[in-house]
Amino acid sequence: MAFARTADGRVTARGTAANLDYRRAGGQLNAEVANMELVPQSGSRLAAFGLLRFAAPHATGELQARHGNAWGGVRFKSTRGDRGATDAVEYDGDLIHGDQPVALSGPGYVMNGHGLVMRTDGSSLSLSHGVTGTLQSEAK
Amino acid sequence: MIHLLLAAAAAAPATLPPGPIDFSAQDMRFELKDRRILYLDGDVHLNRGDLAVVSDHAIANLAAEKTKPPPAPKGKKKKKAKATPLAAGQEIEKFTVDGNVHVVRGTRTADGDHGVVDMPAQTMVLTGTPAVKPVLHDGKETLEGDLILLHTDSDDVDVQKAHLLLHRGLKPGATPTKGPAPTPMRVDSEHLVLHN
Repeated sequence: MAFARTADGRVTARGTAANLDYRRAGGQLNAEVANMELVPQSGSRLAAFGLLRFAAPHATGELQARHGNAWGGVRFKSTRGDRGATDAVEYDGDLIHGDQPVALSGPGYVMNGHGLVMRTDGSSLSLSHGVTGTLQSEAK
Repeated sequence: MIHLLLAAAAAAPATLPPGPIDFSAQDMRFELKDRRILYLDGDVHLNRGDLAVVSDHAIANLAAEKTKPPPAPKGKKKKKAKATPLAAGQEIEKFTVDGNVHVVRGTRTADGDHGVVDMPAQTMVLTGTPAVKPVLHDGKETLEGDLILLHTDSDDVDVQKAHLLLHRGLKPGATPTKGPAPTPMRVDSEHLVLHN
């Protein structure tokens, strides 16, 4: 099954799922083997990442309440080359958070932590409970 | 005096090799606002080559976004775009470390309360508190001052209001003789430079 979301005449998100159960009345959504692509708005903080791809074996959500969960091995990739993996995350309004081990990597960085809080507008990202990583340095 | 300073720098480690920075901390926060800033808190460890810095907190400032290269001439095959580093093409430019700062490099260690690591300039400025000044140790010898500037590329050290305590003979390279250890010598200076 495939789905797409549009806003102001442009596709902002699209995806596929092996099984999708959407109850229009309450805005409740259950998906299995879900893959979603987000297209950041041009000029936004997330635009530098390019296309954002998310995948999870299981996902539930309440669209009107802006709340959701994904679990069973959540994966993230961007066109720029960023990657992320954690077991489960919760979407709650403007935040995505989780308390499982998380691994992030991309051009110039590798990071691992044991908890994640991220603002959905891309303005901040926090890792917690023991963080390790490698950063590219400016020095030659 | 020159012999003294040369002697003090004799065991200095090699030039810092290029490479990325490894880090660990209890918590990390990355702010992607006007300037990209990375905050590290709690038991912070930074390692680059043989330079190790430990502190309570650290802030990494990312370099200003680089300008895009001019477009390739038409008709030529496009090269694959070079991947941009963390947060849209920015690299670590400066680290500021605070609280119980401890630096290790080769045989040298240094302690202070506040430090600024300038990555392009390959320097580290170490300061202390009014009560406790920053101090550099090299074996038994200590160098204290209001401000210690470490050049990580050359291992030169630049100290303001320096107090150097030497535990070695005056002539570098002289054969050690049996007998009592040399009397420690204290050197005070408004501005002292140790050249490697």
